[in-house]
Amino acid sequence: MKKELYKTSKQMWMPTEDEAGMGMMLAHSYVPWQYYDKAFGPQEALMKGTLFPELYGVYMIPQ
Amino acid sequence: MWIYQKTLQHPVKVSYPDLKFAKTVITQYGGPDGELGASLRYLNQRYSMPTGQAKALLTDIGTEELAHMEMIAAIVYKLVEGASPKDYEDAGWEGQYAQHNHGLFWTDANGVPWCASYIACLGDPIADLTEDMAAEQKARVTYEHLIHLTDDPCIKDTLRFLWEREVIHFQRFGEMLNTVQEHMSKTNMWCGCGMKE
Amino acid sequence: MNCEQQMSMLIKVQEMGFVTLELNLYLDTHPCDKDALNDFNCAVERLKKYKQAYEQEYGPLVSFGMGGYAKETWQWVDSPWPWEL
Repeated sequence: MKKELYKTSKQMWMPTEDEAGMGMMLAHSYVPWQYYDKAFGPQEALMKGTLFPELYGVYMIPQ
Repeated sequence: MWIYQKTLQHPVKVSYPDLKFAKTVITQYGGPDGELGASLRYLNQRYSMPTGQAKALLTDIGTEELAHMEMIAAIVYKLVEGASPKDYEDAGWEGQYAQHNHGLFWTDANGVPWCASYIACLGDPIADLTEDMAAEQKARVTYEHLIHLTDDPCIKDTLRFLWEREVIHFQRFGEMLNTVQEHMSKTNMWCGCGMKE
Repeated sequence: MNCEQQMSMLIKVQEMGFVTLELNLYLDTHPCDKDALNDFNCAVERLKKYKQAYEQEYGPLVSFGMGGYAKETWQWVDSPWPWEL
């Protein structure tokens, strides 16, 4: 059983040198990691469809 | 197993009846890029995922998609409330009335019934998660089309909520793909046989 | 018709339920994120309160015994159902 160290959001986003892991491989797709920093309030979150401001507006909001 | 919560995930309101739009929005109920397909795809793929995280994410998003399917059903329910057979005829949706009256059914916007060919499960986590990401993009685009096709601001709000959920799901599936790819390369499980954590 | 009050109590459940769901999905891919874990627990606490308040007035939100004891009548069958509200 792996022992998982609990980290803050910022620590997760910026891995240390030895946690760099495999890096990216050819012929594989990757998505940038999101890290949790600020959040919308519950009312705004439900209205917008997400808790995370950084994930709102990445695509143009359809009108 | 599943427990049902007696509430919609997000409120659904319509400003006026609109059978033409009901006929169109139903594509997200039973169409190729709709919520039924999304839900069944994820809930089925979870059995062949290699890690607890992947099984959890597919279970959770698959379950959320059932709630989205319910919201589409609520939109259609409210759009057709009180409609007469003549209203259905005027909207070019008399086939729906003939076969279902005010009942709902899983078809696309052209009346083509839902089909399991809309979804896949290759049992390969990379192929399956990539399919999931494509599915979320297609759903996002379909919601954009639907938002363009209605003038009702209440419906637009609900569809925008569902649109944004697709963006979030794409991000989560992408992160899971990152993790699973790293897991598979570390454990050298290229063929997918004998995968354990 | 008590619809207005019912909807205003239900929206609180929907809003907080959405926060916990969003954080749940985030934690599925970031299981070590301590901040998210703490915020999830805070949100769960608030969600419990909103659900209790709603169920006190309008009956159970879940069935199969997951919503606790039944009162004198079987409220689960009561209307309105979610697509009617």
